[in-house]
Amino acid sequence: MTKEDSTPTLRDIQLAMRNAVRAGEHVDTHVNDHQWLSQHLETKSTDSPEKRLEIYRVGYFIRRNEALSVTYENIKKVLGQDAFSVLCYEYIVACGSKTYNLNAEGEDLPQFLKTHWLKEQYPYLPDLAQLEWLFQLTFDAPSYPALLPETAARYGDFLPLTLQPHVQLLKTNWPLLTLLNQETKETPHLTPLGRPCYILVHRDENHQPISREIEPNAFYLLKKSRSRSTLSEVCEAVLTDPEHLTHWFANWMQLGIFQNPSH
Amino acid sequence: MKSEWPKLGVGVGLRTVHYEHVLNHIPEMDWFEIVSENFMDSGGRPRYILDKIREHYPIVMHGVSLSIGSADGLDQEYLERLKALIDEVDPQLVSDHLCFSNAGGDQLHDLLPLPHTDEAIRLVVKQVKQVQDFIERPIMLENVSSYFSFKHSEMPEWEFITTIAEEAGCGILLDINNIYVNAFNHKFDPLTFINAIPPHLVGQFHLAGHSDHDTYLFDTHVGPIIEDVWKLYQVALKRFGCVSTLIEWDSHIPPFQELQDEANRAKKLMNITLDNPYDQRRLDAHPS
Repeated sequence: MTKEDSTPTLRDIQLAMRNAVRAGEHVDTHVNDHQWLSQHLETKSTDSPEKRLEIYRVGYFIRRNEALSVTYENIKKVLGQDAFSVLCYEYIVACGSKTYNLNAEGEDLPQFLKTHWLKEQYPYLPDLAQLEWLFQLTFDAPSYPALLPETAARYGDFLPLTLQPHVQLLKTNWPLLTLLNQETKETPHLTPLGRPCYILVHRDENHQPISREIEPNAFYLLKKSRSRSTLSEVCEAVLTDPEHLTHWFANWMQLGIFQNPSH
Repeated sequence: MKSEWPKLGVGVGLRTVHYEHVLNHIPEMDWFEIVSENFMDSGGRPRYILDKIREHYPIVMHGVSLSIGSADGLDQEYLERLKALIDEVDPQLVSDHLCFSNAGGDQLHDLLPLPHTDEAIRLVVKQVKQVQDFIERPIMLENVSSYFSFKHSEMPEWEFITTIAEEAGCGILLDINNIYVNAFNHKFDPLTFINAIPPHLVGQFHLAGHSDHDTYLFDTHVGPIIEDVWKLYQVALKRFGCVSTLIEWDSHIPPFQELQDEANRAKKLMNITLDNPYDQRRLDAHPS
């Protein structure tokens, strides 16, 4: 008995529907699945099963596209609606969705852009995408009780430093923060800074992600704090003057950058 | 398992565009339904808002990604996150859809219909029991809208969902709009569907708008609820009683007042149809 003659299993039906929903217009490898699936579907109307399958396929692309538009607001602003739609379409076709969480839809876009044809015209796109992805992580990450100055004082040099999960760091050679603050609707043509820019992303008091440029040593200090080193280990690793250190740590504690070590 | 689901009155879906309004005005509303997935993976602003709203309103959790009919089985990590949120929120009701939404490792981000077969029943019953055992609560499954049917289906939709609910010991979230949409799309009488569902299984109603695409109706959750769906709601109230009712509006979401107007209409219909059970429910909940 051929596959076409037999009653389809639930798994076969679901895989064929997956292929029908995921297929892009220019992807022809699923055509046989479409034909096989259509034989098992019916509509009580003049519409063909293929037309009704199209409802799900379009919905799939729209939902993922909308999710990407929310996460990558600035990429969309730079590219414009049409080019952004093309980028989303190519990304969606190339990368299946592995998570139920639509907020995590764009996780692979920074990597995808590294080899994308749009990078030639906009070489800063992968870094901009990475920054926007960090905003998304910052938005969704949990927060734990923050380190308070009196707790820090109690531990002294042996204070274990752990960043809040919503704290993110990025090093880039592009003036991305200038780009984010730019009001103009014209497509910006950025030139590299000629020096690295160190960016801290964290949450403000309204739980919204914000970013700021920080000094290179401050960046390395925070990076080192990811490994749950003690205060003295972190300071030894990044030699900087004590006045700077005191100022940075006071500021970071005010911002709630570190977790309370007893949590 | 369940014949007595909580009677919460009329609620609306909690949507981000209404966060500020709800927190600033604490408008009169019996309860809010949250989409579970919007809060399961977020420890930031959404959870902060939810905690604030929970101080004032009962919460019902409604999921879209359980994929209870997936032939690949259940996603254990998803279940763990769902249970963590349930344990924290302590919702009045927990529900998802009778459908599948992933296959072959791909998330499809939709509520895809299942063929109405014994094979699908066996699978869904087994998986509902797994879910209920794991989260230690009964769940309800919602009938989904669909745009085609399967030639090898062995029974109508109402028999499919009833059999699953009875065998798995779960409840039914009856989406009145989806019954209307499917009745048009698959050419059956919506009253046949409603009259075939045993009243003790029904724990919640959904009401929503849809779009008319000429040859089919599309469940878009946009616009106000149409008159025919309101009429069907009255029929459902007569059969199932004072069931907790949700107003859904997910596209082109209007100001909160418009949702409140729809909720008030549902309350009024509850009162007219059931001889003031809505007021009675409030008296039962808050005796003087």
